[in-house]
Amino acid sequence: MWRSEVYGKLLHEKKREKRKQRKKLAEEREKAIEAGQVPPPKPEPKTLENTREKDDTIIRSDDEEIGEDLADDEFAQYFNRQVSPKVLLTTGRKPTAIMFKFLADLLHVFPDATYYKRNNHEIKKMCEYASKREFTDLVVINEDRKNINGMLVVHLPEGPTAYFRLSSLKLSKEIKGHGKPTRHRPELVLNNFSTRLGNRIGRMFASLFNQDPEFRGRRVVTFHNQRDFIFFRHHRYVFETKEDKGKAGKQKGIGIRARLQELGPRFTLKLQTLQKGTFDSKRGEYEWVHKPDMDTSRRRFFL
Amino acid sequence: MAAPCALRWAVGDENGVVRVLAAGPGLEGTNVVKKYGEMDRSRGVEKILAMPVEEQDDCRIVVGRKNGTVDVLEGQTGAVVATFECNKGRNTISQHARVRGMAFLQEHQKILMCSRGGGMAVHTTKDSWDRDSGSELKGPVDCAQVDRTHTCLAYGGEGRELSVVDLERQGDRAWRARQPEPNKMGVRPRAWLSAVDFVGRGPDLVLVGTADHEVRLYDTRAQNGHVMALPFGESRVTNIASQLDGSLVWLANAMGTLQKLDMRKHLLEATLRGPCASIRSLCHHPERMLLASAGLDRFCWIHDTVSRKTLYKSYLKNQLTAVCFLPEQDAKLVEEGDRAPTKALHGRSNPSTDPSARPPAKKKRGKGL
Repeated sequence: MWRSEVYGKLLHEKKREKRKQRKKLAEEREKAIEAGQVPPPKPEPKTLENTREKDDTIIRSDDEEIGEDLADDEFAQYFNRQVSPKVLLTTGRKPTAIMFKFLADLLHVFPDATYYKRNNHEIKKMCEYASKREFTDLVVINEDRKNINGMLVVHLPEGPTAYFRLSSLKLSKEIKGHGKPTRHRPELVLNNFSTRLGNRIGRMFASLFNQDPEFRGRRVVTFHNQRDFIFFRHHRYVFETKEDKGKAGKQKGIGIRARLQELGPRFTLKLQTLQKGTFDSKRGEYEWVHKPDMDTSRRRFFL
Repeated sequence: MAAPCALRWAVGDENGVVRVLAAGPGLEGTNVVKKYGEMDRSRGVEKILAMPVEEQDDCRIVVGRKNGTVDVLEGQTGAVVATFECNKGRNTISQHARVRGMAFLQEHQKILMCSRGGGMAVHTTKDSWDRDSGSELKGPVDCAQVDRTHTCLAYGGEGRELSVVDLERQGDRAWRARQPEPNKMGVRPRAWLSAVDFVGRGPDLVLVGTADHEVRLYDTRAQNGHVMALPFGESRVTNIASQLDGSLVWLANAMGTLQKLDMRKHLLEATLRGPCASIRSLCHHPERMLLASAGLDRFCWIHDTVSRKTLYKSYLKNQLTAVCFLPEQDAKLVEEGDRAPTKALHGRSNPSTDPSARPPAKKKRGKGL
C-alpha cells in the first residue's frame, strides 16, 4: 500500500504542476491581449507525426540527383505522357461473392481497368500475358475465408511489385449517403509520401490513373499516408457559397465551402514488401521488406 | 607515431556513379569524399575492385559495368585510365553483356573479367593495357570468383552447375560439380547458382549459393558432389564473403539477411542487423574484421564482424550495386568532397580507432525504488 500511495502522490504533484503552468500561461496570454500586445504563441501538442524520428531518405525538393534518377525510372514513361495506364484486375484462386462486389467498386475507381478471371493462372504467367497485351499494371486482390486481406500491384513490364495488406474495407453500399461514380477521369491526391520509398509507392499509385483528370466530373481519389498506413478514399466534391455567421474566429460574410460525398470503396493499405522486377516470390530481389527489428521506435516511419 | 588512418571504401550504384567514402579518426561521421561518373543507367556498376598501385602509394578503382565495359579509374581524380570490353568480338544480347566477375591478379599484374554471356578477357596493367588473352566460358554466368592464390576461376549460373577453370590453361575445365540428387518427390531442381566464393586462401573449397535458398560446399579434391548443403533464408542467395582464414563465411540474400556460417561446425549462426533489401555486394576487409555491404535499400553498411555492431551507415540516394574497401589513407589527405555526413552509431561522435574492440558492458540497474 505504501508504494502505491507514494506513486499516487507523485502523479498528483505532476498534475498540480501542469495545472499551475497552464494557468500561468493563460494569465500571461490574457495580460498580453489586454495590453494590446501580441500574445505568446500557444505551445503545440506533441504528436507522433511531429515528433517523427529523423529519416535520411526524406526527399528535398531541390535534390537534383534524385530528380535525374526519377526521370529515368520505371514510371518515367508514364509521367512523360508516353504511355497511358491500362490496369488488369484479377483475384486470388477461389473468389467469393464479396470479392466480386469489391471488384465492381474498383472497376469504377480506375479509369481504364479490365477484369479477367483468374482461371488458376500463375502470377508470373499473368505478368507475361498482360505485358504482351500492353497492360501497364496488374492488380491482384487476395482473399482469405471471405475476408479481403491483400493487394498485389505489379507494374509492367519490368516491375516493381508491391504487396499491401488490405484492411478496414467498406464497400460503397455500406457507406451511408454514398454516391454513384461517373465515368469521368478522377483527380488524384497523394499525401505524405515523403521518403524515397514513399515517393516510389506514390508514383506507383499515380501510374494507375490517367495524367489528365476531367475536372468537370469533380471526382477525386485520395491516397493519404499517415504513420505508414495508406488510407484510400474516393469522393465527389462540390464548391458552394455559404454564409459565415462569424463563429469560431471566422469573419462574417459569404465564403466558399467544399462539400464531399463519398463514392466508395474505402480501405486501408499497409506496405509489406516492395520487390524489384515483376512478381517472383522465390527468386526475386526485394527493395524493401518489413522486418520486426526495424520497429525500433513508435516514432519511426518508412513511407 | 604514424598518422591516424581513415577507413575508405568505394561504392557503385545502378546509375553508374562511383562514390568514395571515408570515416575514422580525424573525420566526423562518414563523408562522401569523391564522386565519379555521370548518371547513366546503361552504364550501371556491377562490380568494383581496388587495384593497388605501388609507385603512387594509392590505388586505382576498377569498375565493371552493365554494358560489358570495365573502366579503370584513377583513385584521386576519377579520370579514366583505361577501358576494356568483356564481350569484344562476340555477338552478345544486352541482358548477357553485363560484367559478372572481375579480379585483379596481383602477381601477374593483370585484370580478369567475365560477362554474363561467358566472354572472358584478361588485360595487362603494366605500361600498355593490352588484351593478354580471351576465352569463352559456358554461359549464362551469374557468379564468378577467382581464388586468393589466383590459380582458379569458379563460376556458375542459371542452368549451369559449378565449374572450376584453371587460369593458366584458360578454357580448360579443371573440375565440374555433379548435379544434386533428386529430392523426395523425385524432382531434381534446375541448377541456378547465384553466388560463389572460395573458402579461405586455398583453391580447393568452394561455397556456392543458389537461387533456391540453399548454400552448398564443394571440395574439388574429394568428390564431384557437394560435401554440405544447408538451407539459407527465404530468397535468392546474392553474395558470399569468406574470411581469410576460412573459419567463417558471411552469406547475404535478396531479402537483406546477412548471416554468419561457421565452416567448422557447418552451422548458421548470428545475423548482422540493418539491411532491409537485397544485398547486392559484400566485401570483407583484407586485414580488419569489418564487413561492407551495399544493397537496394540505398544504404551502405559497415559492420564489425566480431561485436556484430553497425559501425557506419550511409544513405547514398540511389540503389547500390557494388562495394569494396580501398587502402586506408591519412585522414588529412582525405579531401572533403560532397558532404553527406551520417551518424556514426552507438552514441559515439568519433568511432574508436580499433573497430574490433568490444563495446563497454551495460551497467546493471539497481533493484526497487
